[in-house]
Amino acid sequence: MSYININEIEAGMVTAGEVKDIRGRVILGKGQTISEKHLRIFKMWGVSEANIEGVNKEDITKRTTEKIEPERHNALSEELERNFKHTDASSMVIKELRRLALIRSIRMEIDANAD
Amino acid sequence: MPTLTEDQASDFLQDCVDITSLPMLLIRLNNAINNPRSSITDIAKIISEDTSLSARLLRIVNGSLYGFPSRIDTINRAVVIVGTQQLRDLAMATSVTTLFKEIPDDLVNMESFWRHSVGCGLAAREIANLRQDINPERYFVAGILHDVGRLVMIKKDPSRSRSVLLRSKRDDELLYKSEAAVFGFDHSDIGRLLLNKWKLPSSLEEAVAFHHRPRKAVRYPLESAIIHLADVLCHAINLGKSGERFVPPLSDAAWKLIGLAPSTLSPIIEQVDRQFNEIIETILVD
Repeated sequence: MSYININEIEAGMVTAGEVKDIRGRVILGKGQTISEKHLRIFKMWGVSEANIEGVNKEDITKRTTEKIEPERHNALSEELERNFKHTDASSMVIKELRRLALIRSIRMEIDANAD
Repeated sequence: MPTLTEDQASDFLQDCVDITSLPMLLIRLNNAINNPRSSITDIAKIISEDTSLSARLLRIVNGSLYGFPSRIDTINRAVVIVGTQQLRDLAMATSVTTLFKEIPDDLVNMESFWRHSVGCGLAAREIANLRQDINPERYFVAGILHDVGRLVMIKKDPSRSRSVLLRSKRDDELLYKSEAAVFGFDHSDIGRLLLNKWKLPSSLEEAVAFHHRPRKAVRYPLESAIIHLADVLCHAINLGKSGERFVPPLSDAAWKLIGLAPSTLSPIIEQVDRQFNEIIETILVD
């Protein structure tokens, strides 16, 4: 189980803990299968993350990075390495920003290739 | 007592009359909003004199930034619904690009520059929204203005600005550090003085002044911290370019002061991506 960002949660995933909104109100209980309707409600109530059974952030990132060629993945990672060279690599926030930057550039590349 | 850096920056800005004077309309708008006797109709009348500005403002208030259920078709109604200060901030945000025409484009790509600025404004606005701030528009305009000091430096002294770029590239140095080494001050010092000359609220001035040094902010530490984070975020996801090639270091103290969870970064980026094109098209229309 691991905390997953709201926009990386998919219908069918199972909660490993209570899902709470920005003010700590419980929106959905533990052990529930998430539906499309739940996802809409989470977004509406400002839920930013949820504890999900059997999935972690690394799995989610991997799922995206596997969509492009390993060489492209390496090239994008190296570019990020250069861009982030003045930041503190051990910071949780920087780690998350780097992860999101990688996912975003992969998605943009996939979209550009699709056009 | 002003420091040596402030003196140098102030001397530098002295003869930039074309930039240091705001468009007449914005000055009048500012005065009207600061005058407790002016009515909503007075303010709407000033904005309505500029048809291009009015059209831009109506496009924004009817767009996804607000998502109002019914159409706002007059500036008068926009002032009532959005609020006078907020509309002034939006007017500022959508007019400032016109002040910086004729910048040599080998030193900075203006479109890319405004893309970074708009991204930063939207990110700052969204961070403020998540913190349930009552006036997120303040952050939008602060984000749009945070790097304008760099444009002044390029416009006034292209030769030394070129040295800054070369130095930063040669030494893999953060651009604001190269600026400080070459000029004796950086773009945030110039930005601060410029906003002061424009007589904008001191919260904006401080947010721009300390976006690379949020811990130095005395009166508005939160504003500075939010612009600092928004700037780091836009550099991280490569949204436009202000000239800087690197993601600036994130201040841990600023992050703690803002008090969001790292999991909010992803929704913030998504929201910025959703609103970005619409705002860019409105602002870069001319």
